[in-house]
Amino acid sequence: MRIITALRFEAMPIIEHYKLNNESSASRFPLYRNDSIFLTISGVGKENSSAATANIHAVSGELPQQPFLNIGIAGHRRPPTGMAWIASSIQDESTCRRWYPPQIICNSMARTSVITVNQPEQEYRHDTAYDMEAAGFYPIANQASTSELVQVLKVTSDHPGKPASSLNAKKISALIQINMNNIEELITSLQKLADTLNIKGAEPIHMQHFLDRWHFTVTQRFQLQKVLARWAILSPTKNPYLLLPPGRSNATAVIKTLEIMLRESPLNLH
Amino acid sequence: MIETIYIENELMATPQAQRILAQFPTADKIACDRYTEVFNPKKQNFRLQKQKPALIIAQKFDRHVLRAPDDYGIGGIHNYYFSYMLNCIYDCRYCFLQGMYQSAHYVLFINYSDFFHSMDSILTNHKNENVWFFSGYDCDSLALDPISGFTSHLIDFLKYRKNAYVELRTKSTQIRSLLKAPPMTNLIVAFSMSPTKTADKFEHKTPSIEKRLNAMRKLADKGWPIGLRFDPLIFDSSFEERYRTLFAEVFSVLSPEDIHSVTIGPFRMPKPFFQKLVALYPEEPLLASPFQLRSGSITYAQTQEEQMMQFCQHELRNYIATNKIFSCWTGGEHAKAENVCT
Ligand code: SF4
Repeated sequence: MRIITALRFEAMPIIEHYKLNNESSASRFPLYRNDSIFLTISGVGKENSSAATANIHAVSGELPQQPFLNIGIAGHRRPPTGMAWIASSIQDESTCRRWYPPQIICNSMARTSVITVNQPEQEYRHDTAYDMEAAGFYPIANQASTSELVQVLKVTSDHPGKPASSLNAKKISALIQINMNNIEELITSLQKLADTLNIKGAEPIHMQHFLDRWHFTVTQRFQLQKVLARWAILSPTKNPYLLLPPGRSNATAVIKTLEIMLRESPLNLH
Repeated sequence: MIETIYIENELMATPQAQRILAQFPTADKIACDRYTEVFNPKKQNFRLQKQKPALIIAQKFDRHVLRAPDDYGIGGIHNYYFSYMLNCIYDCRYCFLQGMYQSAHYVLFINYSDFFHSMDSILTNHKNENVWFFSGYDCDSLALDPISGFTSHLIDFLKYRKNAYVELRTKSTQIRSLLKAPPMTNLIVAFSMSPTKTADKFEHKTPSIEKRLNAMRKLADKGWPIGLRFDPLIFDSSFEERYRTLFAEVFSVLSPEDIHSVTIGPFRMPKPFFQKLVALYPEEPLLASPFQLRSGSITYAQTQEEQMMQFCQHELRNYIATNKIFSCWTGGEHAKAENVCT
């Protein structure tokens, strides 16, 4: 799980909740982590958010299919403050580019469109959340992962009846703190989704026996790996090495024979 | 249950869109300019989205009706297909839509009249000739009918166009609008069928074979012509026994007179789609089956495919006249032996 917040005050409740360790607070993008969660603080604005998202992906090992979550405060035309929203669409106000994070997680949080602005919004012209980072975060995170795992959670911090000028560090942390249950629920769901993508095909079985006995070129190794992986799915209880008829003199003949044997062990629906 | 609905801004105020939205009062409604903004972007995962697909209400501006591929048809000369929906509420593991689309969301094009206009232009081009229009290439034709209401519109359209023939291909039991209307000889409801065990294993979320048979019986009782689609044929260690049982089951419920046509087709899929399926479901035994690449498609080995086709043709002839049996794949020799849909 990779979390990006703009402000330290937004990050603090999350850092404390998940007991994240400070890895590099002196760098441009301070990094906190535990075994499964990486969190970085981007600073305000789209560009900072893009750069911090790219950075957290790099420093966390550039693993594919990881969940990315942008958490922060936002203005909204609709009160009350403290209301948590999932972004159902994100629009970059300056370029008019738009993204639609797929909504496949079941939770009780409300959905809202988010408009990312360059300057704090004071007029709240549309029924939407106004932030300054989502449109920087989303396209970069989406390049690094799959869109279902890239989400934006915003907490209303100001609205026409309560302007942003009244905010301070303590209030911002409190807005995130009161939503820790929502945040935790979302993080758990995203992690579960990511886990379903980690289902691997079967490992090729008994590969080493074959490699010890015959010489396989790089391409043949790959072919052997593929046929043995399929073997593991279709006939997991049978040992292909032991079943191989004698007399195969080279790797080509071995692979061909394994293919033929597979063809003769059809799908078993029992 | 649909919890998220995307809707194109232009359609928001239309009565048809409003009627659909009213059926989902608690769903999140998200406006977009074009459905492609949601449906087409790369970096979407079909398998994940299948857990909770959204509905996208959209309109289609062009290419409403297209010429059918050469191996698609049931004896007609002029074959076309149309897709008023993309994607499906079911989750068949062999479905090529998983390989074709980035997204698993259901796209519903609600400008039905534009589809009918296109059909009319095609009919004009083929004056006094029969023209076949196939629905169910990119979706299940009936599964979302209670929401789309498409079938009622289609019935109205077909009433006065006797040379227009439509096949609605389905695994669904959503037949209410058909049962309400008088039967028509130019609207064929074609049910895809697989042996029970095969369906249980690979046709996730679909109505059981028994339920499909019930639906067919109800339609046949009302006089609707029924199509049987044994496609794709899936091989397994008890292939012959399973298909023999299936045919016996089907024809114990339906008589030959109820049947408009029967098609059989082996499993086949364009290679890039198949590769995407394997990437989505690396643990799936069906996709690890010994297939081969032939004419750009992943299929069973030719001899095996021929054996499967011949077996089914032979068995089906016990129940139904040969001239009602069609095979829908020209990749193998068997295509020359029977009525070939071209
Ligand atoms: S019913 Fe047809 S369209 Fe739907 S998932 Fe199955 S094969 Fe695909």
